Amino acid sequence: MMKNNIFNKIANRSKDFYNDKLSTKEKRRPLINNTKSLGASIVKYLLLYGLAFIIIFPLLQQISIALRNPSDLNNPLVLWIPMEFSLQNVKVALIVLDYWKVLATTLILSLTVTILQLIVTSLVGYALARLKFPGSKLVFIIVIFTIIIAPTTIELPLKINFRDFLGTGTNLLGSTNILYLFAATGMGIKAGIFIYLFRQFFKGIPIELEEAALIDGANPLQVFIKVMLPNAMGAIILTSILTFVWQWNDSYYTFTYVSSIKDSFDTLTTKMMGISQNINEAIQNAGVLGLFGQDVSKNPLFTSMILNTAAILTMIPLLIIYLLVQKRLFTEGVERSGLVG
Amino acid sequence: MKNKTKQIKYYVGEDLHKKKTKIENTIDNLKIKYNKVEEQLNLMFDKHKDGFSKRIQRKIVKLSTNLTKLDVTIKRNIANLDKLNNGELEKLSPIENFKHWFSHVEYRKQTMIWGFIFIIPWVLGMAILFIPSVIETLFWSFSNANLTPDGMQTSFVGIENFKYLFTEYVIDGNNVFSVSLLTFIEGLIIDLPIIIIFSILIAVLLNKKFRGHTVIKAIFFVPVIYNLAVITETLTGTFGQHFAETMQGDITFVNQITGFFMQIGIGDSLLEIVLGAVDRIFTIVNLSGIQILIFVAAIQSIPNHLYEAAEIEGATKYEIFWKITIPMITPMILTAAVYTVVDSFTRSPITRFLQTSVANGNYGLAAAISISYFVINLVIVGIVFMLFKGKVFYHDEK
Repeated sequence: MMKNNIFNKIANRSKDFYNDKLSTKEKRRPLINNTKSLGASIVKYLLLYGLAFIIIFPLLQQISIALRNPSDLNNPLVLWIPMEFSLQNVKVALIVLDYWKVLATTLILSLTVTILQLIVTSLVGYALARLKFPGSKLVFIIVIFTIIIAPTTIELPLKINFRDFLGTGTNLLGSTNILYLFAATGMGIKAGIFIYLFRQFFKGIPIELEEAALIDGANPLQVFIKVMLPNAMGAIILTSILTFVWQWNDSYYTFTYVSSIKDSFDTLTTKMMGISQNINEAIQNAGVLGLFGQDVSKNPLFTSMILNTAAILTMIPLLIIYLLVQKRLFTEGVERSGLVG
Repeated sequence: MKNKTKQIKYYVGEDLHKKKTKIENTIDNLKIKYNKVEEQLNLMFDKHKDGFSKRIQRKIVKLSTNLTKLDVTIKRNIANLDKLNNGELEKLSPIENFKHWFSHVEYRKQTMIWGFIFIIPWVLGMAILFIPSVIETLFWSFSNANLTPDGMQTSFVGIENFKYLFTEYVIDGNNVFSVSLLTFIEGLIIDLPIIIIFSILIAVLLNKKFRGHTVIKAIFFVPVIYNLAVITETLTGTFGQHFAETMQGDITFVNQITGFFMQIGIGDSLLEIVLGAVDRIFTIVNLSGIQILIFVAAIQSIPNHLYEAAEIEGATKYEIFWKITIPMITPMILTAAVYTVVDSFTRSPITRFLQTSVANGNYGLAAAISISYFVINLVIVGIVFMLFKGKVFYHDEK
């Protein structure tokens, strides 16, 4: 009797369900749509969160490595979460990298290059967008060419040129002035792309703003500084961040023109490259091996651990800066950057 | 507001006298010129009494404009003279004088001059550093170049360098230039559409609000600031392998899946491409940072009313994506594709060949590598352009 009751109930329920939601095509539609959108959002979340995890994975790994105690190396139980937290790795890596001094050099270099590049590319971008002068088409074509021509193509002639710069007898090779010179003459890291970006951006700003200022008697320089630049914050933020990051992570320009010739000059990236090629010697030179027992320092994982810690130390300043500006980057930089003309 | 009182200087004494003679001289000169032009004009009228051809008309218009200008200048000078006599003419410093003169230049010419001023640093860079270097490299690629203390010694050899490069050049024992070039281009051709499609997909997904979208958005642009060399070291170095070995379970899973697809008869080559892409998912994600950035911006800039109209007309999401989103972002697809191609070449194996040939002192060959590098780059970018030609849609097109 009981059983029958339950079966009846289930039968009735399903009959109702069928009548309500499945019997005709019309009634089926909402259910199908709901399932579809549920499926779509599951796929979407899986994809986005999964990929976000793939991206962040090496970072997590590095942080986990940096925070473990070297004595945990021989402990098979420790993979992700250290048994004992310690900053000993960080201390060693700081010494190996000569961190604070190199950090200061890197910061100064990146900041100066960013400012110079920002000034030059925005000026050229504005001239191309609004100031019609004869030959502006040719200038634009050359800008596109500078994007396509790889920096290695002109490396050798440039080096010969710099050895005796413009016949003045000064040898610029090995001094950071080369990098400043590149940034100040629109030949810095991917400068062509930024000129293009600024051109697109300034074209998107309504011309009426400019005309109003011009009628009030401002000259193009004043218009540029007082009207156009405040309206171009998006492009400015984007250019500054990308130039700064690319200069920070740059090994090509810095290595070829400066630190391959002058050994004492290093940015964090070139230093990192240098020590990763012979980490053992670097650790020995830093004189920190005595701090650890034989079982730790002879472990091949030990050098790798120090390398990883050094790697995250080179990236941490960038990550902090990125976190600070990320909100502005998205709301002003990306979404209103006028990347689309 | 600052209360700035400006001291106005007037011409007095000796200065006044000098200025006076100067202005009088200019007026005389101008008057002579004026008369000359007038004479010319009259002559022309006399000559062509029975009607003017178009050329003559233009000449006459030009002359009369000149005449008017001269007239105005003379009048201005006379007015200045009057002021001077009354002791009212301001004495201007050279800079102010220049400003005064500049503000009277035609507006069109003013912007032109400013345009030139704005691009001076860039022009210097191009003229001194960039263009001569490109030409020099081009020249070396056709010659046998040797570095001597007095600079580069070259002798013209025609296309020998390129011939040698593509037929015989081998480094590290078994690394053939033409083969690695081909492999690289193949990889690029597979990667390019994957990167573009992937970044469009991600950009579309990121563009809508969902749970935790600020965090995810921030994470997706982290690759832009990653130092790829350092990250790869982390993943494949000793410690990376240690991690990978300890978490080996996923590899058997992949093998099972692959076996299953093989058995149900999906082609080897297709599977290889897919597997290759999956293998490189980390690389692809990390290479797509800028492209995603570009597409997010592009999708943001699509006017909302288009979507509203489509929804009212009853379009499905699928239709909206293909008929509105994609056409509206085509210009940026082009930009992103060009960026991807250019960016990929900076990591190509060609760099290795270049370094070796420079290290061996074979500068002609190095130049030839650079030039072929550039030509291939140009060709691929050109092909991308041709593919998109006519399909690109500019919504501000008039």
